[in-house]
Amino acid sequence: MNRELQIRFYNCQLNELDSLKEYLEKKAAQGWMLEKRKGSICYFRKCKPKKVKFSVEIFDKASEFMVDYNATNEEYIEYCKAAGWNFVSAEGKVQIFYTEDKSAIPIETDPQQKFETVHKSIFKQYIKNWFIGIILGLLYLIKLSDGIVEIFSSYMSFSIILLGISMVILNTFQVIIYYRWFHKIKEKIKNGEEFYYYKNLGSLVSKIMVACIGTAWFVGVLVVSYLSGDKVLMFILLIFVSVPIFLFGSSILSVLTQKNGIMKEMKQTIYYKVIIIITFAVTGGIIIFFIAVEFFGLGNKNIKNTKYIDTDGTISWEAKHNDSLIFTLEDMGIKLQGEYNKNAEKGDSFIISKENYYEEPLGEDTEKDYLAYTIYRVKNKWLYDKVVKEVTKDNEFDFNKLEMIHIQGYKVYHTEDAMHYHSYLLLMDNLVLDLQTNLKLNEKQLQIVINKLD
Amino acid sequence: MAREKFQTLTEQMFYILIALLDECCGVDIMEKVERITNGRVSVGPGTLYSLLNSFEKEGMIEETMVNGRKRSYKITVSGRELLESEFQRLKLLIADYQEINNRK
Repeated sequence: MNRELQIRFYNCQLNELDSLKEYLEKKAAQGWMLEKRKGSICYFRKCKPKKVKFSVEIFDKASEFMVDYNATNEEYIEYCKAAGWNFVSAEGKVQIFYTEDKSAIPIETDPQQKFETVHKSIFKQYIKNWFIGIILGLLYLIKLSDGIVEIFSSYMSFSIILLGISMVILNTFQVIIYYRWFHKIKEKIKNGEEFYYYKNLGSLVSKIMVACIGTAWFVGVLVVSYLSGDKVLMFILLIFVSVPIFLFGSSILSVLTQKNGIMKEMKQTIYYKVIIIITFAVTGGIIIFFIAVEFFGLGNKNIKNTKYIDTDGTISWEAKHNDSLIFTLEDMGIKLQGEYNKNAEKGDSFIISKENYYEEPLGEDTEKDYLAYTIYRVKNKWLYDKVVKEVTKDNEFDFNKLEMIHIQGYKVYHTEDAMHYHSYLLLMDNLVLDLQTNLKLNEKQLQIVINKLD
Repeated sequence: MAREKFQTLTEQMFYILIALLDECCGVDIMEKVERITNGRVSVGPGTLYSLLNSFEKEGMIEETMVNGRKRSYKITVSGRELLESEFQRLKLLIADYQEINNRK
């Protein structure tokens, strides 16, 4: 049984279907007849080279999830069949027919109506894209309500927001490009000029933009996950790499199948096996490379202690040594009694570096001294003011009621609550310290803190 | 919007309505239009399918019979009125042309 099959990737928008039609006619003339089309993947079966006419049409009644011959498109297909058009494949609204009858009436004979159908379908697509954009926008607003510090202190949340903004910009760009095309064609119809739904430059540019944004985001997250040591995220991303590798491998193999005599007799099952092996080999190779890099100690060496990585990219580690903390109770001359839990947490973002540190007694002994502080390092003046505002709001500080002292030229605010817990807010150049402790720190101790931070 | 679409009928719309003055199966309309116009006007199956849907939605035609996948339609009173108003409009065009042409 001859099972020679060729797989080709051919992507086009709903207003570029004539280019697909020409492509299919060219393939048939070369001896490859379209068998089915799934998404942008076309499956061709070897045949005798023949001159056939293809028609790629939009069937507006079909939903995007409908495939092949079904209850919705059967009547439409019957009409086409009666006019001499043979049904080949349907996916979503796109229906593909062919005929060997050169005199067959075209499926669409009213350019105005066809244009309206194309426009309606694309318009629906844009509405859907805008809806996704709005959802992302809402997510962005929800994230904003968490506070600006939360957004800018993690690469992951910041990159998701950037991705959302990029998508909105891209959608806007696509709509502008589309409407330029729409008005051009509308004018042509009005003037009775002939036109075709060929590939247009605008859609090519928007595809390149999508590819660039997607690749930049993917590579960015991959690099950050590697630098921050988040192996789980890194491996998940690498698994995703296998998808484009699979598609690329498939295209390469399919070109070889067509051009190279050695591959000509390749059976479909072997074909897929080869693609899967290539995919696993490449993906596996990359994963092994990263494992090897890690094994030989070329990875991040900065963190010596037991480390945990949160889903938002925050690294935290249980400090085995005091050097993981910027300053400790002992630095301020406080003697520790019993065992203490020491913890340090550092965000991965360079925009706002948020670091959390604490030293607290193990167990529930509330009498023992403790220290907990957050350091925000931020260079941008606007963001610095936002950080101060948010920290003030979170701690319910009222600057009018706070005690303020100047130490080494820096402002230190202090307050004490009814439980005798003390809060300190230290404002240095590009740095904000939010400190909580049960101790009332004296000026000398505060100087130690400033010296450690300076 | 659809009513607006039928303010002025295209040739294809006009002949589909004429074809449906007698009950006719959807797929047979293409052939009937070709016959009426001696092959001058052709209606593509996609165009026909869409127009039949629009006409039915606007009450210009009605489904009379369903036999398997075949559906038959017939023009309604509203459809006849539309066809008549189009006929009157075309007559006016011809009259205007004749009047001006005769003056020359």
